[in-house]
Amino acid sequence: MLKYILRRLLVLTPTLLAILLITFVISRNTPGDPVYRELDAQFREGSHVTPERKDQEYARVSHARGYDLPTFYVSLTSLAYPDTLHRVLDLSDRANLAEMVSIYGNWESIVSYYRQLKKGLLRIRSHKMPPDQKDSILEAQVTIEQLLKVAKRPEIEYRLQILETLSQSVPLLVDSMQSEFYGIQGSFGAVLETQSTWKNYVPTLHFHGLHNQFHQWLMGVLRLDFGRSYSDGKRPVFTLIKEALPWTMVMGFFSFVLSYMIAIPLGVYGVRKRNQWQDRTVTISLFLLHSIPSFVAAMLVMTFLCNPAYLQLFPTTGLSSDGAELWPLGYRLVDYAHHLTLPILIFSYGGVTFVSRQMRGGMMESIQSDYVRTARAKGLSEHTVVWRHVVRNSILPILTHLAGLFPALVAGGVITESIFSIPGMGLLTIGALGSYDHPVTIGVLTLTASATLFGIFVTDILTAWADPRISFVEA
Amino acid sequence: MMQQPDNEAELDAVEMDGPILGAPQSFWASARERFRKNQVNMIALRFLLFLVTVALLADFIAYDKPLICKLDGVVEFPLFGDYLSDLGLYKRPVERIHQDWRQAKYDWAIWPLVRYKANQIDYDNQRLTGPFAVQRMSSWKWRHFLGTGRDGRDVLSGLIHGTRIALTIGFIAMGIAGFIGIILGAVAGFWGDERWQLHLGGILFGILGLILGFFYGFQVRSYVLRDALVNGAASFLGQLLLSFLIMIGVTVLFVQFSKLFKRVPILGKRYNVWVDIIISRVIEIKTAIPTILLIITIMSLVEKKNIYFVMVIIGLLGWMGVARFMKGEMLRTRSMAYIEAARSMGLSEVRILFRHAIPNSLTPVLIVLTFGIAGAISLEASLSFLGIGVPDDVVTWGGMLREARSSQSAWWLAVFPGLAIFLTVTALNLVGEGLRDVLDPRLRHE
Amino acid sequence: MVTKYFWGGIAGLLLLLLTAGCKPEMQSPTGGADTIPVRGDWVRIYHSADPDGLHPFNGKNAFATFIKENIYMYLADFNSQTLLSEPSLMNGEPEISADGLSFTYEMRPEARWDNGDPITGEDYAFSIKCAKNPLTDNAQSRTYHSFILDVKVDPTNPRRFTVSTDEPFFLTQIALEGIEVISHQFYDSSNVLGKYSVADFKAREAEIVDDPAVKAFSENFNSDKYNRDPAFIYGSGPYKLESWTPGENVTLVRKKDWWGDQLRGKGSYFQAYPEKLIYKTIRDRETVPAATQNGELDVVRDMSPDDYLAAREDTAGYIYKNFNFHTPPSYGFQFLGFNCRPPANRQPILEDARVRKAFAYITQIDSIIQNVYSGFGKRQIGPISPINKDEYHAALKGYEFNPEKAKQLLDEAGWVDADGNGVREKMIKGKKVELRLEILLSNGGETGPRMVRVIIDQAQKVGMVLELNRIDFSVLQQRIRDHDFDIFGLGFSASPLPTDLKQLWATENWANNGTNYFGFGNATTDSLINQIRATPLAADRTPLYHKFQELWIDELPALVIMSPTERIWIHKRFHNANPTTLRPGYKAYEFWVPLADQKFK
Repeated sequence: MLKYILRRLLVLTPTLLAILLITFVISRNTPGDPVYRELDAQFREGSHVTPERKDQEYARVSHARGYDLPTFYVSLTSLAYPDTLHRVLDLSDRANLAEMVSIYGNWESIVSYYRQLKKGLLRIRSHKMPPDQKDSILEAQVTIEQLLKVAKRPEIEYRLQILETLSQSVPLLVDSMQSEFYGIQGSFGAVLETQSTWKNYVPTLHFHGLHNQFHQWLMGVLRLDFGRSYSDGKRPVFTLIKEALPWTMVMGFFSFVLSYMIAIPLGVYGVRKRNQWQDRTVTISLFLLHSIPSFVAAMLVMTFLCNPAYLQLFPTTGLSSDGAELWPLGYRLVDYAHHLTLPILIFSYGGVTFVSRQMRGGMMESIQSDYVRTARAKGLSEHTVVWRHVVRNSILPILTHLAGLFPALVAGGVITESIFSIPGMGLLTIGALGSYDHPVTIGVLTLTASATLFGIFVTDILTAWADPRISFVEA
Repeated sequence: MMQQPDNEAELDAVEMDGPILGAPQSFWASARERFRKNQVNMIALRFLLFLVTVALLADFIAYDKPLICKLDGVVEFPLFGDYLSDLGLYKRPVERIHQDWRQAKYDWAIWPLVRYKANQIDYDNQRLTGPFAVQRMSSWKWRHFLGTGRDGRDVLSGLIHGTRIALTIGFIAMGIAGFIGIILGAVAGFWGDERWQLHLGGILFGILGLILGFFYGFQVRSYVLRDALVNGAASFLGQLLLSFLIMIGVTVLFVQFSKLFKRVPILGKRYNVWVDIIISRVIEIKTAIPTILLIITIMSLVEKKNIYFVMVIIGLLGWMGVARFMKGEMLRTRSMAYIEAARSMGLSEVRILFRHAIPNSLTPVLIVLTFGIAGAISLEASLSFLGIGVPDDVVTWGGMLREARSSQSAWWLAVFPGLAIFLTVTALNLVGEGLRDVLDPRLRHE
Repeated sequence: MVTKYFWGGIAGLLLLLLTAGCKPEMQSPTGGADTIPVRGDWVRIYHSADPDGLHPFNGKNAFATFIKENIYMYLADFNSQTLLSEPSLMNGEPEISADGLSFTYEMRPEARWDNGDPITGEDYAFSIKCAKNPLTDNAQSRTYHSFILDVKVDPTNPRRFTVSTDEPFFLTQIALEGIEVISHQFYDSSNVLGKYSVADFKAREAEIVDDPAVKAFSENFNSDKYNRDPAFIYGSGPYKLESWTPGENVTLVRKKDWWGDQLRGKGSYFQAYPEKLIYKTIRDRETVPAATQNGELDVVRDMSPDDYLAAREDTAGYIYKNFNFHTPPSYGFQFLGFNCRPPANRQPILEDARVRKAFAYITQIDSIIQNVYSGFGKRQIGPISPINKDEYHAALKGYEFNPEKAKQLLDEAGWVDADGNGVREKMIKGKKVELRLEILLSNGGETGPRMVRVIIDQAQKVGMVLELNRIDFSVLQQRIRDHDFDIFGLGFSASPLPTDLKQLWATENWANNGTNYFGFGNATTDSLINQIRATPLAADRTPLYHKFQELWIDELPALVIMSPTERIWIHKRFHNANPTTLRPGYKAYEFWVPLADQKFK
C-alpha cells in the first residue's frame, strides 16, 4: 500500500508541475502590459506626469514584480538571441528587439541602433516647440516612437525616409536634430551591413539558475500567493478566493448530495427495468433534462418562482435577506437555505443525468458477473441482489468522480452563480474575466487544477484501499 | 450543472477489460437492424439529417437576393453570382454592385423562403418585432415569420444559418478531437507501458530531436506564425501544420540516425517507453482544468475574434474522451487473434497498429464522437451566450439567446434558438445512445 | 468634490456602455399630507459591482465614489438640484487674495468627528499631506495636487487656514474644496506627518521618503483595513460602514447623532433621513428586473434601455405600479473617435477631414438613438454638454444623415470606385489603397456593437468598408494610446465642473501618448485651451469655449453620438427622491418615508 502511495506521488509531482507550467505560460501571455495595468490608469495618462517619471515608475514596478528576470530556468534560443534581453524593462521594447534579432541576427549593432533611437527621442522630447513648427516636430517625435516598435526592414526604412525629409525641411530640426537623425540612419545601416541571419538557425541553451520568473511565481504559488488583483482594491488573489470558496463548496456539497440521492435510485430503477419501456422513458427524460442549457433553466425558474405575477416563493439574488446579519443563528441558517435552494437545484440537475448514466453503466456490467449469477442462483430476491450486491459494487467507481467535481463546480458556477448573484468562485472568475483581471483568472485556474489533481490522487488511494481488486501495480 | 462532464464523451469513460469477442460477420447488418428497430433512434436520426440538409442549403432557404430573376430583361442568378464572385470567378457589372435587390422591379423572380440574410438589418422592423406583431412591410412575403432581434435581424434566417454554424462547429471540433484522440488513445492502448521498447540511444536521440524539432519548427518560425495569425485562421493553420511537420521530421531524422548506435553497449540496451503513463497524465492534466475557463482564457489571448478559432480550440481541448474510449477498445483489440497472426507474420508494430488495429476498432468510436458533437455544440452555445469568441456579425444560436437574456419581453428570441439547441443536442445524444446500444461491445450480448 | 468628480470622469472613460432618455422628468415628488421629513427606513440600491475600497483616497471606481459621498465630507458640495456649489464643512465662502493664488477658509464651528473633536485646519492640512505623500497608493492624486504649495493654519483660530497655490487656474477653488477631509488624529495618532509642513512635501521630498516613521505611517495608511473594515472607515459624513459582505452588499448605517443634524435645512447635504443605505451587488444585470419585482431593491440605475422600457410600458406590472421612473440627463457623452494623425504604419485615410465628415454623414444618429438606445439619449453635437450653458455653443451645426453628401465628399477627397468592386480606392504614395477602416470597441456592452452594425450597413452603400473589432479593454487602451487604430468607440463621463479641455484635446496629450487619442489640435487650439484655463471668470471663458467648439466641429476629430440619459427607477414610498444630473442620478440620503409607509423599522 505504502509503495502504491509513493508511486502515485511520484507520478503526481511532474503532472502538477506541468499544470503549473501551463498556467504560467498563459499568465505570461495575457494581453496588455501587466506593468501598465498595475500602474494606475490616471498615472500613465495624466498630463502632469513627465515621460521620465513614467519610466521611473515603470522600472520600479517592473523590478518589483520580477518582469526583468529571465522567464525560466533554461532557455532554448538561437545563437543570435542575447541572454540578457530580459533586462530590457519595457515589454514592448523587449518584444521588438527580439523580433529584430530574429531578422538581422546581430545583437550588438541592433542595440547601438536602439540606443541611438532612445537618445534621439530624449532630445526631441525636450525640444522647444515654436508654434509654427510644432506640428513637424511632433511628427518627428512620433516617427521615432514608431521606430521603436517596428522591426521589418521596409517599415524601418520608410520611417527613416520621413525623418530625413523632416530634418531637411524643418529649419529648427536642421540645426538641432540633424546629427541625431544621421546617427539613427547610420546605425541602422550598420545593422544591415553586419547582418548575420545564420545565427538564428543555431540553437543554444542558456541556464539562468533559480533567479527567474517561473521560480518566483512557483514559490509564490506554493505559499498560496497568487499576486494581487488589478481591480478589486488590489487585494491579494488568494484572499478573494478564500472569500468565494466557501459558498461554492456549500453549493457543491448540497448539490452533490442531492444529485446522488436522485441519480442512484434512478440508475438502479433503469437497470431493474432494463430494456423495458420504463428504462427508455427514464433514459430519454434524463437526456431531455440534460439537454436544457442551465442558463435557460435558471431563467425559467426565476420567471415562475420568484415573481409576484406567478409564484413568489424564492428570492432571486444574494445569500441572505436585508438585515439578516442581526438575526439569531437559526433564522439565519434558514434564510441562507431559502436563498440557496434555487441555485442548488439548477446546479444539480445536469449532474443527475451524468451520475445515473454512470450508475446504470456500471451496474449493467456487474449484473452480468458471476457473483450476481451465484447470488441469484442462491434464490435471493431480485431486490436484494440489486441493492446488496450490484449497487454496492457499482457505487465505488462512481465515487471516484468526486475528484472531477471541483473543476466542474467552478465551470458550472460561472453561469449559475452569476445569474443568482452567489459570490462564489464562478462569479469571481466571470467577474475577473469581464474586467480583464488576469491575476485572479490565473489564480483560480491554478488553484482549481492543482486541487483537482490532488483530489484525483486522494480518491485513487481511497479506492485502492477500499477495493483490493485494483492492482497496486498499475499507477 | 455540477457533475456535468466537460463533454459528453466522458459518459463512456468507464474503462473496460471486458470479454474478448470476435467481430461477427454480419455485425454491421445486425447493428443497423437493431438501431432501426428503435423508433426514438430513427426519429432522432431523421431530425439530424434534416438539420444537415438545412445547414447545407442555408443560403437557398434564407438569403437577401433572389435565386433566379429576370431584371431589366436579363435573366440573372444573383445568389450564384455571389458565390462566384466570392471565389473570384465573376465580376458583377458596375450597375449591379449597389443594386437594391429588395426594391428592384423584376419581370419575375424566384426568392428563397426567407428573404433575409442572417445578419441583415431590417430598418423598418428594428427593436424586437414579434412574430405575431404588426410588421412594417409591403407584402406578407417579406414577413419575419419568427420575429426580429433588437437590431432588426430576422430570427428564422438566424436559426437557419445558425444551424450551419452549429453543425460546422460540431464536426470540425470533433474531427480534430477525433483525429488526436484516436491516435493517442490507440497508441496508449496498443503499446501500454510495456509493449513498446526502444534502445536507449533511440530514446535519447528522440528527446534531443524533439527539442531541436521544436526549435526549428516553432522558435525559429515564431514570427512567421504570428504574422500568419494576423492573416486569418486558414493561413495560421497551414503554417502551424508546417511547423508540426518540421518538428516531427527532425525528430524522425534523429531517431533514424540513432539506429547507427544500436551496437554500442549502453546505448543499445532496450527500455520500455511508458506511452500509456505519459498519455494518461496529459489527459489527467486536461481533466483538472475546467474546459470552459481554459477556453475563455485562451480566447482572451487572441486579438481578433474568429469562429474557426473557437472550433479549433474546442477540438484541441476535447480529445480526451475519444482517447480514453479508444484506449479501452485497443486493450481489447490488441490481444485478438488476427493481431497475433499479423505479429507472427513479422509485420512491424507500427504497421499492425495503423493498418489493422485502428481500422478494426474505429466503429465504436462513433458513439463517443456523436456525444462529442453534442457537447461541442452546447459548449459553443455557452460561449456565445457569454459573448466569447464569436464575432458580432456571425449569428449563432447561443448569441441569439444572449440577446434574449437582455430583452426578456421578447419570448421568440429565447424560445426558438433555445429549442434549436435543445433539440439538436437531444437528437445527437439519443443517436449516440442508440449507437451505444448496438455498437458497444460491453452491451452487445445483453 | 473635484477629486470625486474628476475620478468619476476618469473612471467614466469606459467602453460604450450605452444608455439614454428623452425627457428629463424633474417633477416634484408625489408627497401629499406628509410634508415634514422624518428619519427611518432603509434604501436598497442596486450596484453592478463592489466598490474597490472605501479608503478616502484609494477607493476610486464609480461604485466606491457613490458610496463614499455618504461617509466622507468635503469643504463644499454640489446641490443636487441647483448644481451650484454649497458650503458643507466650510463656514461660508473663502477669502481670496487679489492675485487669486491664496484662499482662506474657516471650518464650521459645528463640524465634529465622531469622538466629538472639532474638525480643524490641521485636518485639512493632513489630508493634503496624505494626498501629496509619495509613499501612499495614490500616484495620480499626487500629481493632481501638485499645484498646492502650502497650507497654513491660523495659530489663533485652529478652524481657520490659508491655502496657497502656484499659478492662476480656473479650477483651483473647486479642487481645493473637493478634497476628502480626514481626521489626522484617527489616521496618524502618533502625529508622524505633523513634523512636516505641506510645503515640505515638495522641498524635502527625498528626506520624507527616507524617514522610517513616514514609511511605517504610509504602510499603515495604505493597508486594506482602511478600505473595508467598519472600525477603520472614519469620516465626518452622516453614515458609517456597518458591514461589507464581498460580492453581496455594503451596508451603511446612519450615525445616531451626527453633527450635521443641527444644520438641517442649511444646504442639501444636511438632510440624511434613511436609517440604512444598503448597496447590493448584482453582477448579472439581467436578473435585476426580477429582483425588483421580488421586492428586493428600491433604487435601480443603469438598466439596459430595453429592460427599462419594458418595465415602464408594462402598466399592469409590479414595477410600474410601485416605482417612479426617472431619466435625468447626464454630462457624459459617447463618441466614435477618429485617428486624425495616423502614424506612418497605418493608412492615412482619416487624416483628411473630408473622410471624417463623410463618415458623419452616413451615420443616422437620430435613428440610432431611437432604435439602438430606445430613445434614452440626447443628441449632442460637440465635446461639451448642452447642460453646461456657460460653455455650450447653441448655434453649433452638426452633420445630418446625408449619404449623397458623403459620396460627394469622398469623391472630392479622391476616393472613387474605379475597379467596380464596390469599395472606393485611392492612390496613396503610389499604392492603391482601399477605403477600409476598422472600428475598435471594447468587449462587453451590447448597444455599441449594435450601433456600429447600423453604420457598417450604411457605409457599404457609399463604398466604404468598415469592420467591427471588439477587443479586450486593456488592449484597446494600449492601442489607442499608441495611436494604433482607425476608429474607436468610448464613453466619457463628466461633471458640472467647468470643462478642462486640455486632457482630451491638447496636442501635448497626444504627443506623450496621453488621452488625446485623436491627434486633434494645432497651435491655435492649444493656445485657446491654455487661455481658457487661465481665465477665472465663467463669463469671460464663454466666447473662448464657443470659438473652440467651432474649430472642433470643423475638424471633427470624433463623432459625438449623444449624451446618454440615466435610467432610474425608485420605489414610490420615498419622498424627496428627486432625480439629479449629478452621477449617479439620485441622492439616496435625501430620501425620506412617512412613518406609516416605512418598510423597515
